[in-house]
Amino acid sequence: MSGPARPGHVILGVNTLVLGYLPAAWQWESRLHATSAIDPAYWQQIAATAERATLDAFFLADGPALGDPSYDANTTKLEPTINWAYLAAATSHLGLIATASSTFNDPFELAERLLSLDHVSGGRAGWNLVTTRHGAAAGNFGLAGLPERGDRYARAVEFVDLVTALWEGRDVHHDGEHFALHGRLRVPPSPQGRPVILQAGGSAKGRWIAGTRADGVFSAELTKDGAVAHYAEVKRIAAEAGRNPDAVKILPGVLLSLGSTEEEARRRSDALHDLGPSSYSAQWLSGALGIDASTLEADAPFPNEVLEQALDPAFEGGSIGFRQSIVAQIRSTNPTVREYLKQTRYLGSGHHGFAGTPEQFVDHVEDWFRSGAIDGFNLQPDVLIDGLEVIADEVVPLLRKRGLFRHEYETTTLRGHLGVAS
Amino acid sequence: MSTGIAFTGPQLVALLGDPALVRALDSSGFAFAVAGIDRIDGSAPDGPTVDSSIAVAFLAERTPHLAWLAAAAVHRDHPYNLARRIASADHLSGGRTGLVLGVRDGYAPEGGTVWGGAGSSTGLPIDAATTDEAAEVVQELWQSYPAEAIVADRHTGIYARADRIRRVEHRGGFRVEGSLTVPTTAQGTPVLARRVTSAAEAASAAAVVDLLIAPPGVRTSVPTVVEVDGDEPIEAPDAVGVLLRPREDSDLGALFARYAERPAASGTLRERLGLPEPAPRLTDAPAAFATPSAELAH
Repeated sequence: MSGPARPGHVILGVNTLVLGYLPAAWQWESRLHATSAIDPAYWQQIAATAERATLDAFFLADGPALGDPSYDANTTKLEPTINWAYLAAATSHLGLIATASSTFNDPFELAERLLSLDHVSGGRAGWNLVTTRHGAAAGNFGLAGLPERGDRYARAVEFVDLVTALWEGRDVHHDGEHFALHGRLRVPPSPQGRPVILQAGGSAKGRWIAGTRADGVFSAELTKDGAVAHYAEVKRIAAEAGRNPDAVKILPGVLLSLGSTEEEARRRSDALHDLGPSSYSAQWLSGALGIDASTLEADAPFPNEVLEQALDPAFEGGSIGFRQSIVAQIRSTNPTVREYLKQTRYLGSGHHGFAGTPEQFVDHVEDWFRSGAIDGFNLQPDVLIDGLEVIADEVVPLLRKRGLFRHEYETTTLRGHLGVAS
Repeated sequence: MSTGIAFTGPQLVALLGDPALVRALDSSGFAFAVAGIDRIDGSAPDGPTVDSSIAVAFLAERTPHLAWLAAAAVHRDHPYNLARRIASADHLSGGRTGLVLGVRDGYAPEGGTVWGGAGSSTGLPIDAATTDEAAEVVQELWQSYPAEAIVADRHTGIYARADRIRRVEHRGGFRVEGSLTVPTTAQGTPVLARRVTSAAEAASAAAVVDLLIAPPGVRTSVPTVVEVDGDEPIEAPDAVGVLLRPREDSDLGALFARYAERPAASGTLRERLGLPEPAPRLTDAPAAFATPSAELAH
């Protein structure tokens, strides 16, 4: 690998999208059964594989609403803080990062719950802060529609500041624009100083929240150039805020299909895509770009006005970070809609994708790490139960050989694993 | 009749810090335990605590012979979030979980309104009526996604008959329109209890819960667990169980050892308390999703 020597280890998290990030994951493996998604034995098994690989943490993307499970087991979702509290009892080192929305929680209750998770896990808890963009959740909470995006981020800033103040254990007296709170938590102090805060998403406002307040970013990057630019931006914001730039870790997601040859990896990815409904990729594109993708001509390039609209921050459709990275990806090769949907199978969509051998993937990790694009990756295997085993048995040993990953856990808290002091 | 034990916040924190004490509790022969009872009993906070649902999810893994009820109030929580957390813990514990609702959360700041602290609405009054309505919403959500909807048919590519999932349309003080993210559990739905202190409270709560937890002498019309101060059980012939509340200075290890001669209980929490499944509440609710088809599955 080229690039200047960069000391230290990569950070490896896993975004455990229930059975794997692809909707057809439930059909893939004989060890999976009808209710694996809610089976404690399933979660214990994948956590044991992750600890065998000395991985840093499990993430769990989440939104408080049920998606249509007709063809997809991954919409059946245990609540993340409860799932992780249970796994805390069955694991010893793995970090446990729960996604929770600043829109659909009370800051006092969430601060108490996350600090409680931190307590029972001995300092392994993290909070992946999202502002929630899914409209379906609003109905569950008596909100007619979601708050306007700008307001959602302003609220998130006030929310996260309240949560961190409460975690210090002191009396909080706060009368702000969104919240009034006078009280204090009675949960024992955090074993790691305070729970880790990750910010999810790739908007400019999200990056500002991350640079000024978070310990890490779970970002969405499709290209290395884009990742390098965003990496530098968050670190610069952190430095300008008087923080050590190394105290905020950049961890983009990567959709992962591994095989013993590149061709086998692509065949695996194709087979998994073909097992699921073909309408899902068009639905995904519709959701991501905020348009009805079924109205697009499949064998023509994307109309420019569709791409322009998707770049408008005021346009309410999908995550702005995802939209920007998708438009950049489309403009780089100008594919037809059909070509683009096929290409996203291997190169990713929203998050970048990788289909290849463990050795090729380790080259990729090393390249992005040494190029200053990442501090680590949030791995999203196509199917977790066997995908994590390949990571443990092949990817991690190769990373260790190159001096890029720990041989054993050297720390006991999530903050310790990530190297971010509180 | 089952015997349970209730833990305050400080006692929960002591348990969580002492794995040997947790093992002793698991072999103690208690049929069930309540986590965080002081949160909902009207007392002022006195010492440390942890979130009841988090404690239950963790301790259920460490105590395979025991069943747990998390004590909570909607106060600063939302029925959707609370219902989802308890149902999730019930899946992970194999049907050994329940929820005891109280009116207010003693560890939360004074004043305010129910869910008003989330800053998206003015909220509802912190009172028994709001608590009963929250119980109704929780029951509806717990019933919204029947486990039988999951067919996981690899031949057709259909994972769930999503048209069998019901859409809750609760339009009262709370407005909740949707379905829970997890299906029904090993015991159908988690046990829903309400802690009451008067016959009037018991009467209004009886229509919306599986179980009441009440002091001795309160007349009730639904299955009731009698809550007793101290660690000496009493005779309660009309009750389905007795809940001991050891004092803060009790030696829990000695207490667990004293109960260790009793045979271990087994089964779901609902089975341990001999409770029937609650009446269906969503028979007229609309389907949450369209009927899946094998043609669309590929």
